[in-house]
Amino acid sequence: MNGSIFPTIRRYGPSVVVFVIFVIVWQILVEAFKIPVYLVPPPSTILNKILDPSMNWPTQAMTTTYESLMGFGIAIVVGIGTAILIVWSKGFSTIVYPFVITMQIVPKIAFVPLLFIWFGFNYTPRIFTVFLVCYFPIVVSTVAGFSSTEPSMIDLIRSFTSSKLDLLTKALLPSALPSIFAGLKVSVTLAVIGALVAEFVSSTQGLGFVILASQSELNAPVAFAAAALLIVIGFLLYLSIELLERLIVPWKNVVVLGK
Amino acid sequence: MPTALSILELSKSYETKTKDRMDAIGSITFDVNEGEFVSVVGPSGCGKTTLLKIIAGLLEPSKGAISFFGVSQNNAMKNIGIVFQSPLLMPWRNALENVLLPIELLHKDKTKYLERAHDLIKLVGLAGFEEAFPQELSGGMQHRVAIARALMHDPDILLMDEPLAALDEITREQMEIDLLRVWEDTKKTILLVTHNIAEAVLMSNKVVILSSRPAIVKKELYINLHGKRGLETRGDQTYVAYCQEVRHSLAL
Repeated sequence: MNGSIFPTIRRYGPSVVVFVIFVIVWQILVEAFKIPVYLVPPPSTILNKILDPSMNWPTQAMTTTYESLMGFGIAIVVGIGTAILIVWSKGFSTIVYPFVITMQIVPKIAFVPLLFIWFGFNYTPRIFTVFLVCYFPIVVSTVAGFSSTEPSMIDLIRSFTSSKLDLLTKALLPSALPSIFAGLKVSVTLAVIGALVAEFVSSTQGLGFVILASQSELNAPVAFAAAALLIVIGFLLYLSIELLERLIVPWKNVVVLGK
Repeated sequence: MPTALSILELSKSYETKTKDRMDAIGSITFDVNEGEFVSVVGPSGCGKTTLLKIIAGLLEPSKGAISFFGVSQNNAMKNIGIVFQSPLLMPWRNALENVLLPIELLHKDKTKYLERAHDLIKLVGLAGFEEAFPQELSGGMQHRVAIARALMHDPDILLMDEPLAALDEITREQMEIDLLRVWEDTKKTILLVTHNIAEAVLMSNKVVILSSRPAIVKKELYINLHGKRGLETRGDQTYVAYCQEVRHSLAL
């Protein structure tokens, strides 16, 4: 964060080296054992597919990213909102919490086909699916974060005011931020999976659609290329959350045992 | 001198998880005059912190009454400042913003109080550290910020709950001297709860000695150290005698 990218290179350099070795070994093994392309394609073929402009990757990737981000964004607003309701009063908490937990326990994926029947075959059910998988981790992490506020800090604020809103904005929310970000990191990776599942059920574009279409043609290189792009998207989303966290929660403790 | 704080036959009992009643405070009565520095000492677990929380309005007493300047607690404009055992600074705010917290919570115009905040930071000896974040300050410095914060809204009474207990010996002795200076400069009424006898005697006009649980007032001891209190006071014969007297009263 201090303007130089060299520390970043030094930090992630080893990971990159391991990845490159992995790809090279993969290439060699596939060629040495003459594994058919429709089973496991070599990395070079996958790379060629990714660079093939006729595949229209940017559009497909943007579609999946759009669904992921929309669902994730709605889950942040509704999830943190729910958590605020839960701490606001004992009454709310006893009413709301069982429903939140039930929502997590029901097999959400089983309802995805229904969502398309209810909302039509458009973006809405896909965004809704993403919302469903992202919602719970955000609620749980936010409530846990609220509870981690130091009791004396609450006493301190209550010695000046009895306003719940002040208590929430001045103490509870800032105290909860590290925990909220932990939830966001879990959620954002689930978001991409949610979008993918919804696209499997019904879609005419997006990386999930591409994978499903490749299956009917036994086109493994396309499936691998789509998966690679999904990994890149998930990674970028995760990194942007981590970057946001470093900007918003600079006081967060980082615990590392050993060098 | 008018009575700033009056505590009359205050008692507090809790219901424990096993449905037994636990008496934390038996019956406490004492007064604090305006401008006085009063310490409450007692064995650990005797309900000192509970007493302070009741005075601050954070807990309801079971029986008894509290009044500020003759007005009962329920009707009084609550105008107190509290310093807790830990500094309780918000890590997301710098020193200046931490000191300004009371102004925000009382919904006053912050810009009008900036100068006062700077003055208070100077008063507690932290000039130049306004922009520093709590994690960049030492334990003693964090306590100084907490004291400045407690004075920010110009409270009638300053309540302190073992504010120096967590500090090392060297820092604590320096903080005691500085706290005395703050008291002389601001002429605040201060009520300090502590289990440190030496600290109580050094700082106070009056020491209120509590019994173990359920707490009652064993003795009110007026301290007269003739003149300025400071580092040398600790060797003073009168001071040592007062400390012995408090120790005896506690042991009785």
